[in-house]
Amino acid sequence: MLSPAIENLVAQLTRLPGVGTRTAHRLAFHLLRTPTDEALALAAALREAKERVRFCADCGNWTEEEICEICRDARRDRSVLCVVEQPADVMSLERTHEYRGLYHVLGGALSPLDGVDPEDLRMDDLFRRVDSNGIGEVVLATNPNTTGEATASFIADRLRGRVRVTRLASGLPVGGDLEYADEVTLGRALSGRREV
Amino acid sequence: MLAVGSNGAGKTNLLESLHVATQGFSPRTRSDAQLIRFGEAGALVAVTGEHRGSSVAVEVTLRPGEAKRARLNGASLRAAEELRTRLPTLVFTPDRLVIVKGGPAVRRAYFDRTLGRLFPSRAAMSADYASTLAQRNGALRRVAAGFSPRDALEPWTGRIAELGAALVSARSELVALLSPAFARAASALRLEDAELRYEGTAASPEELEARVEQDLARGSTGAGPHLHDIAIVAGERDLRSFGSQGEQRLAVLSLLLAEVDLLAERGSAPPLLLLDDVLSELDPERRAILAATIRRSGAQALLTATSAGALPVDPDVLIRVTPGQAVASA
Ligand SMILES: Nc1ncnc2c1ncn2[C@@H]1O[C@H](COP(=O)(O)OP(=O)(O)O)[C@@H](O)[C@H]1O
Ligand SMILES: [Mg+2]
Ligand SMILES: [Zn+2]
Repeated sequence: MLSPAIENLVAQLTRLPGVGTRTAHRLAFHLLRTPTDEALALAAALREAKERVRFCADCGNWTEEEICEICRDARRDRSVLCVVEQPADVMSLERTHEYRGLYHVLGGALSPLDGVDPEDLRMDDLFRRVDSNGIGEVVLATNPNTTGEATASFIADRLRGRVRVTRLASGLPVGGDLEYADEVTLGRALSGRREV
Repeated sequence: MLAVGSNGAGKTNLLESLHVATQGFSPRTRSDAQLIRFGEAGALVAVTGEHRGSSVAVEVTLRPGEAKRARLNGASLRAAEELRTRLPTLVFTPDRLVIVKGGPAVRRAYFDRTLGRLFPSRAAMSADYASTLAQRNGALRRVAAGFSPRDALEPWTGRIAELGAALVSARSELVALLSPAFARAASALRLEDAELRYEGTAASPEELEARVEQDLARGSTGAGPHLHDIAIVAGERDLRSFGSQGEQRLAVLSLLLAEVDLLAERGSAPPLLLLDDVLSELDPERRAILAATIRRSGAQALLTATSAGALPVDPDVLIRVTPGQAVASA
């Protein structure tokens, strides 16, 4: 029999993705054993993040300002917009240091089975941005899976004729040997081959 | 190889374990717990052999309530089922007659797996189509119930049209390729004028659009490759509904032998053939033909029978199976 306070902590932890009851118990007991100021630092960080962080009014990325750093950066190319599903995808693309345009974070992908329709994503904002801001190219960087592909095709249909629309190539993992690539990936890379 | 033993000795069990070891799953059941010996805490199948001129060692471990684990040449695989993309095995068991006499869904699943074996890069096509179709059906139900606006359907209609057309053309190509080899194998087994025909045409976006009211009413998509079938005929007769049990068995065997043929034609390594209880149901002439065909193919095969006399030729290896034991003699 646990105290109600512990039960409550466990219940809150269980709500996190990937955390089952057993892990929740382990985390709860760990937190109870750690010094008070350390444990409360977690609570404070959580509060601060929740209070300060919000979505960028332009692109939908996480930010502590009204407009995020990327959108404010005058050196970025404002004629290219890269559409991604999640803020985490922005981070991945930023790590490449290859992309100099702006982003648009949809907040997910179309998935009727999960109740996600176009109106549940930041679609209208996207179309508005494309219409008003002198954008010349939209790069579709949604995931190459069932929901990501449908999301890309929905956007491509809407933007056809209004702006240049491109899709991230799907291909081979770099550093891997052709010999060890799985056939589906290799087949996709083959059908997406380009002139050199 | 011929495994002999009385009924219940464990021949099918031996064959099944080879399937688990080379494909990562049982041909009989989806419930892996059934594969563990009653009263035991786990099961292990380990095989060593040769594939494409290099040695292979596989180990599959099963424990109730845990995911199977498989190691290929010492390296853990992400999923045991990944083995089937590495090692080719074709299986015949008496319940495989459903490929001919069962419903269209069984045949679609069978030919889609054949597609993946003959064209590994196309292995995911039917699953991709199916998951997209499930989303479109979800969208249909949401639109019909008033939860979603009509335009929520559009991307899914476009995607199933696109993926469906690709799947239909891949399946048609497969059937066109398989049919002559199937006819040859069947004719060798004295099933004359055998043929495979793909039944169905891809649904264009326009066709899907035209029937959207119907689809909304029924809450599912009423056109596309998920409703197609593959006709298996001999002369004028459709073996799906008018084949005798014997003809249906010959047809299933011929499908398997046709695939062996095509794999060889395309330069793939010959598959491992696992043929359970096939001899007892064939007349002596056809047993001899089957044995000769397998010999010629160069594929390694394991057949089962209740007595060594069931095979008209001497097997390279004879395995005597008694409960809990299998003893091989060359
Ligand atoms: N999980 C299990 N553990 C132990 N015995 C089993 C298990 N599953 C089936 N059996 C038994 O193993 C025996 C061998 O079956 P099987 O391999 O089908 O025999 P055969 O094919 O030689 O006729 C049967 O008596 C069957 O009931
Ligand atoms: Mg048996
Ligand atoms: Zn921004």
